[in-house]
Amino acid sequence: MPTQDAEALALLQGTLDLLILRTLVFGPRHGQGIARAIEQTSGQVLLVDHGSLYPALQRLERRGWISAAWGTSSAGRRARFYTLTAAGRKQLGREHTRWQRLSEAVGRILTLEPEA
Amino acid sequence: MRRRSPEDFAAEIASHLAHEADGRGAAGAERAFGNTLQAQERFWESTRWWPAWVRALGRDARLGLRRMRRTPGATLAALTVLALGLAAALVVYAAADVLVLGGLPYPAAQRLMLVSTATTPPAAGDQLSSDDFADLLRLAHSFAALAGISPVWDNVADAVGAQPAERIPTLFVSAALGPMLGVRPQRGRWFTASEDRAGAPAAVAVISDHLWRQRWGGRDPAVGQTLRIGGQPITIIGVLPADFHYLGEPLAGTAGRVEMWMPLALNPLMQTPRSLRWINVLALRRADVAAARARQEIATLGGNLARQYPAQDGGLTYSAVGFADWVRAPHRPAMMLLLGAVGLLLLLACAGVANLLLEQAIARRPEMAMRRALGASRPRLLRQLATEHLVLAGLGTALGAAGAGAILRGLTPWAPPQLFAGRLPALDLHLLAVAALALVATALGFGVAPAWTALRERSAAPALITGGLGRLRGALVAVQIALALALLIGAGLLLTAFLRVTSISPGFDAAHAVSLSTQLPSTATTLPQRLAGDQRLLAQLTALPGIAAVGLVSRLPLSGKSLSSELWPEGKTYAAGHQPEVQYRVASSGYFRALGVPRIAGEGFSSRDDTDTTFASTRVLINQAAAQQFWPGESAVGHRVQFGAQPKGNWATIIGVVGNVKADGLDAAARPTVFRPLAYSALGAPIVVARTGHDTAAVLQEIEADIHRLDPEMPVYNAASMGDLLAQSLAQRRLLLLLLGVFAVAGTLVAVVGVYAAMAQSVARRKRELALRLALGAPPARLGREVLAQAALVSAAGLTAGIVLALLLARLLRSLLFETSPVSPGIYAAAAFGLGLIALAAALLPARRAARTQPSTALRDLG
Repeated sequence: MPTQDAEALALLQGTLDLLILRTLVFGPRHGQGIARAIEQTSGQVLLVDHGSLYPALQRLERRGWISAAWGTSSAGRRARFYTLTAAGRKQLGREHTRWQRLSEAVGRILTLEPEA
Repeated sequence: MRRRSPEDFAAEIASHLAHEADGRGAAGAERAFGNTLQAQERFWESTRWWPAWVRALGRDARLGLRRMRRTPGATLAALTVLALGLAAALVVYAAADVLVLGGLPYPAAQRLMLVSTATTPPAAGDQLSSDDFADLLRLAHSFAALAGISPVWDNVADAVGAQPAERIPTLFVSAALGPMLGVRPQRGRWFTASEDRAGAPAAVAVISDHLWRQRWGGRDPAVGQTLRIGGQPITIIGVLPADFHYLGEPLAGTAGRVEMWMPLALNPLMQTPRSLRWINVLALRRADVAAARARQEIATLGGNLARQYPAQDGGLTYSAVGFADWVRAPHRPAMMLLLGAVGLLLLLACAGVANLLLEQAIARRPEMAMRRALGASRPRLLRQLATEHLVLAGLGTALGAAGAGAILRGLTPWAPPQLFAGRLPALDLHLLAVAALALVATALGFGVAPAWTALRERSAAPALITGGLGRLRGALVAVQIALALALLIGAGLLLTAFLRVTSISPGFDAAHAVSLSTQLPSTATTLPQRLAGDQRLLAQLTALPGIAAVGLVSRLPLSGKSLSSELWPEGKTYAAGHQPEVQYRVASSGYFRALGVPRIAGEGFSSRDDTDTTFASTRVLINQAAAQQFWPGESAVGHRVQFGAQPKGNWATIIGVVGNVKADGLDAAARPTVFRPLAYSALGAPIVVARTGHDTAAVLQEIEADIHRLDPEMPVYNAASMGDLLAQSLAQRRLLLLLLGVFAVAGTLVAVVGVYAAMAQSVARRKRELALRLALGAPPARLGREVLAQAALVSAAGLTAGIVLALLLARLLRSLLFETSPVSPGIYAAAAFGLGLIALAAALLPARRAARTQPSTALRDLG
């Protein structure tokens, strides 16, 4: 497990799917690009277990939320590019709402002041 | 989505690593990625479409197979034992199913009864006369139908064009027989009651599928065709299905196929008087009448007939027996023996497998405890254990079933047709299921349970096992030895009996002797005509090159066929109804030389006995058995005798005594027999016996061709060498011996594997203990002796139990043993000694291993 940074957070199960979908909103990316985008956007806080990334992509592709095609990366290498599908966009909306409700709820519990 | 190929996935991972390496260098990329193999593994799992549990099962099965490969010895032993036991059980059950257990292939088989008569004193034949049968038909009320069946009739279809005359074995039967047996002709129909009536307008017949195919090539127009028998036209009205099988052939006096069925009323014997008994009666009991009442009614009616016609039916008792029982009776002792043997062998196999698996399970306790300690869940371990043993039992079952299939196919040429009567034994799926279940249960019980108990113990420390064999395992080995010994003793007894029977001389010289049957043309009706025909035949065959001697006879030895006559020796009187019977034969002068029957006293038939009827009518030969019975202690030659129910003063003088010839099989005593000359009673259906110097098959062909050249109206059948007939008469005994022998060998093998495996594993398990004792100064030879002593102890217990078991079971063998005592100490001792020796030999290798234990390595390995 790549944990150079003790502060880095392992991804909560189930959140990886959401983050992948979210990352793809900005256009097609290949697997390594997705991982890098998540890590960079989160300010290096969220580390993607790359061994889990591809099974997750596999899963999303099978559900029809993303589609894939081989292309050439900016580095000039062949890579498999993933694109968000219409169904994936819808799913992202649902997931997004769900996640916000969840994080709000968790946030409330955590910030709850002990009653005086 | 189309399924992705693993190559495509691998390419993507490679692309990822390359992108990553652009930033961090290759090693860093891999580190960042984690385990690529694992990722690929997960990819695999995600792409499979079958449910997770199937995958898990597959994985466990693969694990099981891998374990088997790691312990090839134990696996091979277990598989051998499983497969052997199962295969033997399947083969014998298949045979028993055909011979004894399965139902008769008739819809109302359970209600079929055979009505027969018996005379006091007992005489050959248990048939009824036409009049008796007619009375029964009229008077018996317990039966839905009664059918009369004639003895087999050698009808001869006349030659047509190039086709020579052909014998067609025929039964004359009541019209009621068809519906009674549920016969449904594949073409045409069965005959009706109106066709089975005296003076029926046209003669009709139903033919077998075999005859249809052979004579009409299986083409449709057989029905409606006419067959000429002795010039008389017979219309074929039906063809029986190929799988129809009449089980009453022995009743009809034949072991061969019945090819044609004709109405009983057409039989020329129908008009014979009440004293001539020739009809077999098969009856269908009414569904609402108990078997006991039906038997009672037959006995009562028979009693009435005997009182009503004392001259003809006096001394006659009637009885009815279940047809199925009657058909099965001859095979019952043999099949029961084999079924018992199968039971023993299956038990043996189960004990063997149990022992092997038990040892493995014990050996795996530490492994199980370790895996448990490392976090494997108990259901997970149990599932894996169960799967492993299921794989083992499954493989064993598959091997066993395949082996049984192969044996059954291989056995087919050995299976005497007269024994299996056309229906060959086949794999029985029910038994396969039951046996496989038993084996799986054994495998699971003795393989999984002991290892499972280890899982209750939480610590990873190996369960402490006491030295030696352990009580349960010792007992299992002893059981195997006991069962194997019982099988060996059984086989030994049968072998002794077999050798004793085969060492009996048939009374003739079978080597280079051949025989075949023929019939004179139907135009030969008078005695002079028949005699001329016989003489022509003899002259023709004598002229054939390569034939040393040739003769004609009315009945062949070993055929079990009987034709008897009452004998009236001059000067001896017997109580009424107690006149002695002798077997009655007609033979030409060359018969005795052709068959190689020795002359004991007096002279033989001369060539004049073959030609001169007046001269021949006063001359008779008898065999030794007759000479001893009627003229004990004196020469029979010169005494005069008469024959028949009421002698009319036609005295014949005994001119010589010939050696006994076995008529009913080697294991039956020779019966008193008389021979009359050919010229006295010329044969319409002579059996040719010839002695030749060379190849018997070629000679038979030559004789057959020669007879067809002589007269195409003469059929040729039952061509065989006398050696083949001799072998055939031993067929059942040989098959039985073969099967039991196979069982005994298989049983011994299983037991030996058991002893070896138990001792070897015990030594392996005690390695540390043995090493310690060696290190403390115990002499190595003593350790070896200890192992041997242990094997000897277990074997001795097993052998003792085996002898007791054999003593109990051998009584059941008695009827098959022919003059061999079921308690012959020699056989018991030899079998026990031999098996004991083999068991000790099997323990020798483990004993040597024990003696050669290297204390240093053993202690290091296990310390």
